[in-house]
Amino acid sequence: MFFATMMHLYIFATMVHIFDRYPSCLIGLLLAGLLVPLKVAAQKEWVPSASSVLDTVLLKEIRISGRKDPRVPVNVLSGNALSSRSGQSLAQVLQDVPGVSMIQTGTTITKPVINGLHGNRILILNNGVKQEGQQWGAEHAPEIDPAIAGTISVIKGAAGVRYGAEALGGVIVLDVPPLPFGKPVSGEAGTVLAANGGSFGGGFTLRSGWTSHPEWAWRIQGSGKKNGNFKTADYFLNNTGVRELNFSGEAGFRKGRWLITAYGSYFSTELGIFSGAHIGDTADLKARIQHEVPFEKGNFSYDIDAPRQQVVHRLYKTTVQYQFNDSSRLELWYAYQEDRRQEFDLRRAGRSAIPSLNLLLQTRSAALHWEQKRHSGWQTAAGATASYKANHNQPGTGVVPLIPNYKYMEAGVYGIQRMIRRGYELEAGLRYDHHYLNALGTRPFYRYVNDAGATVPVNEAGSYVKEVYYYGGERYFNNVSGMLGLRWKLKAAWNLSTHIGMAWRPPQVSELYSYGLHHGAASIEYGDSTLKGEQGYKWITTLQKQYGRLQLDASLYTQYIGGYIFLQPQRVYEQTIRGAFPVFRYQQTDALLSGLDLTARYRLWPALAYELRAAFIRARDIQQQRYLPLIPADRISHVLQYRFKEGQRINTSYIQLVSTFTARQRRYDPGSDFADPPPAYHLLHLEAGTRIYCKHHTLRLFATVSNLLNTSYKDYLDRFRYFSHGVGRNLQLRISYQF
Amino acid sequence: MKKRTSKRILSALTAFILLSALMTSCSKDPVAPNEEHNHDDPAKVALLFIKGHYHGTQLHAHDTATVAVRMDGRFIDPETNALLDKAPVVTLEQGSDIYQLQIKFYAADGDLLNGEFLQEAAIHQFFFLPSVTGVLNYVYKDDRVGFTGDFSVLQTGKELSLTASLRHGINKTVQREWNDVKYNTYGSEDFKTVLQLKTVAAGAHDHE
Repeated sequence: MFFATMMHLYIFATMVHIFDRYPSCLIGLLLAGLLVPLKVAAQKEWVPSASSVLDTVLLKEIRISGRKDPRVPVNVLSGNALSSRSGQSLAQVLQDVPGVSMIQTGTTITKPVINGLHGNRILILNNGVKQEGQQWGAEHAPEIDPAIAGTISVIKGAAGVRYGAEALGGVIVLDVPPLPFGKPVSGEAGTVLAANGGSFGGGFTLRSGWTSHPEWAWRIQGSGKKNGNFKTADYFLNNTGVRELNFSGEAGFRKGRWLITAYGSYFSTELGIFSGAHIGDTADLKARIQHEVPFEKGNFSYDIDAPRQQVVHRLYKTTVQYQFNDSSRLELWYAYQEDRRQEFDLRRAGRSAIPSLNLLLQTRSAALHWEQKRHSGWQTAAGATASYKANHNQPGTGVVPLIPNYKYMEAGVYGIQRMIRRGYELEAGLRYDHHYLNALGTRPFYRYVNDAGATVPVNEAGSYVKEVYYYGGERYFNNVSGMLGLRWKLKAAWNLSTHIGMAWRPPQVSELYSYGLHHGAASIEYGDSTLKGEQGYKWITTLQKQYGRLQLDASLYTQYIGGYIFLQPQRVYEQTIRGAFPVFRYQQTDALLSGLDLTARYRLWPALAYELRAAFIRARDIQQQRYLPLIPADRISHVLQYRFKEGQRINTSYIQLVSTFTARQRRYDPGSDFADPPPAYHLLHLEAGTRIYCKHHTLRLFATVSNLLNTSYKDYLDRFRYFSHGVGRNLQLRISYQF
Repeated sequence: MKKRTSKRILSALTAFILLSALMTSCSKDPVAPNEEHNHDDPAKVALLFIKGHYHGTQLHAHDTATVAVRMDGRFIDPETNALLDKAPVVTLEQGSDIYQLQIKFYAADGDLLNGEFLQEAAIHQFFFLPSVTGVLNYVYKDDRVGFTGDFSVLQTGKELSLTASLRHGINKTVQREWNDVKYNTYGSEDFKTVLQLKTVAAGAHDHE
């Protein structure tokens, strides 16, 4: 591994030298890359191919690296990159960031994946607060509306020191826009329409300072959407409607060195789960996989029936900041979150209206953060965090809960020191975390007893009785994380940075205590209450050229995760009254993930630019010498963008064609999944956008056709690929008015 | 000035400590779990083959052979609940009698659950798939749900298996036969078992 990394550093250095002197070499390489998907497209006649709902963003708006933490690669989305994605889920918004993909449960549930890791292995920060929801389930999307954010940053390093547990794969930071102190009323209102799914929605933002009281400012924002059943290239997907209604608001007081803010966000969604994925036993599943398309073709409807989910997430935060004389700043915040998840299954006797899963998670958290930036180039940051979580299964479901009730407490302290010099920057950090879990659940067990009440063997006569069993208990987790980073300014626009970070996460309650049939996955899952935490070490090296005709961002990473928790197929079936189901057990192993994320942009002519985005990842279970499941397949995108001449009233006009090729995932152990990974697919997307100014008013227009060729496809990371294809052609129109 | 600043910082820190204290003073014990009953899951299914014939619409029953399946899918003795090594063989005679198959779903506490299925007869249907075709015939007696229906023997001297599968979420506006081989493509499964049958020639039957 060390040798490989040194080789890559050497290759990077050579690339800098060659591309800096001979940019035409890069053009040749990029054009060669373009041929790969074209070749696949030519083969498409006999390979069932596919597409995705991706559309694209204005390239310049994905800024690379920067202000969050200069040593760790950061991709920042703002402005047009977010406007052209309005109305989409967080995972869909991040699709153009190399190394970020999404794991789907059909068309309605999407979760972001960073460098192959997802769920509780990545952190989402809602205005600085760790988003606390039920992220343990693959069918649980993040309970957050990306429209609250002014910028969304994706940190790909193991940022465990700054952000604490679960930042193994990376961190997604949603920052709200700054409050407009002293500024007049301004705002934005917009609408999103999409042909596929008959989607319509809209949003608004209103913000203002107070001219007579410049120390006060406020902002409110809201968004909503509704869509009906989505359509693949050939058929409708029944029960795939979504309704969403979200609000956020912030008010602030700034006087002298003090800044006090109060922030709140509300997210609510109701979404249907594709009815064709509702299966009985494994025989059902096999029959559907063989058929490839749903047995019953759907039709369009806005109705949402069981199985469905209703989720409401609230967050309230108050922050106090104090700016010292010596360029240092102290910040203290306290936040309360409430996450209510209700899942409704198809049940008999009118019970479809009663949630089968009804969870209430309440989290109180606080943090103290101090940082100082000295003119000498030394920067220091230190802080402490604490949180208290209570998860409660709401009674009355009539179903034994999947996870127990629990209390969870965590506390951590950290310190980070940076040294900035003319030609290089150094960074080191250390963190200590202490976590405490106390779980208590109950589940029934059945046994045979004789007339005296004593247990008898199953092959002897006896009465069948149910008994209640309590499980859970206390667990303590302690961890020390560290990180070390170096940034080397090679030439005027070139930077080479390398960062080694540690991050960890304790096992989730679902991994510790699952027991029995998981209906949604058609499998029987057993947890292991003795599981230990995961310990990750990620080394990421990035070469960047931030301006000029050529812009480049290439990140090479290797991550070792000790005690990687995964569901191991037991290759046996358990017979139940509903049929036979395969058995899985949560186990631990050691995993090694390595990969390359690449973004290269070259300005061919002043108006014409070409961009290459690529992400490759290799992941192994190094104990058992097997591939890890659900790792994103190789993906290469080519973007050709034409920018129209800038006018006084009309500007930032562009049209772009995006070609995305997703390879077949061949790094897969046969028999480890119900179906082999689907074939490679190639998609085309077309997007155009413009901005019209009129005095102090701005109108932004975006039109996108995703999956332009209406390709039929299945994606390996879609858990419903067994039953159905991905979304077909979709024309989307976004209009926003700013004043 | 410096003093005022220190005072403010001190206030902020005090607030933080108070908040922390508030948090740590919260209980470490989780809420006691509510004991939920899996209302949806039958614990035992009894399949009764009732031999008899009709007087008008009235079934005149003679003998009953019962097969019982418990919640883990294994066969048990219907009287003693003792686990059986394999599925019991039900012998069906050809003749003027039919075999009415009555299927009964029981909860763990012994409650009969059939009403829950019949209440939603519009989306439930039992399918019966013999391993050998042309040996049996079946007629639904309950609006194509299959909790009650009549088997008759068409061929004797056959040993066969019979897959019984109850599906829900079925669009029953489409007429589907009792032995539709595509049964597992309709809706999803509530219950499935494979019975063992033997058909024999008609024996003497004394009718009083």
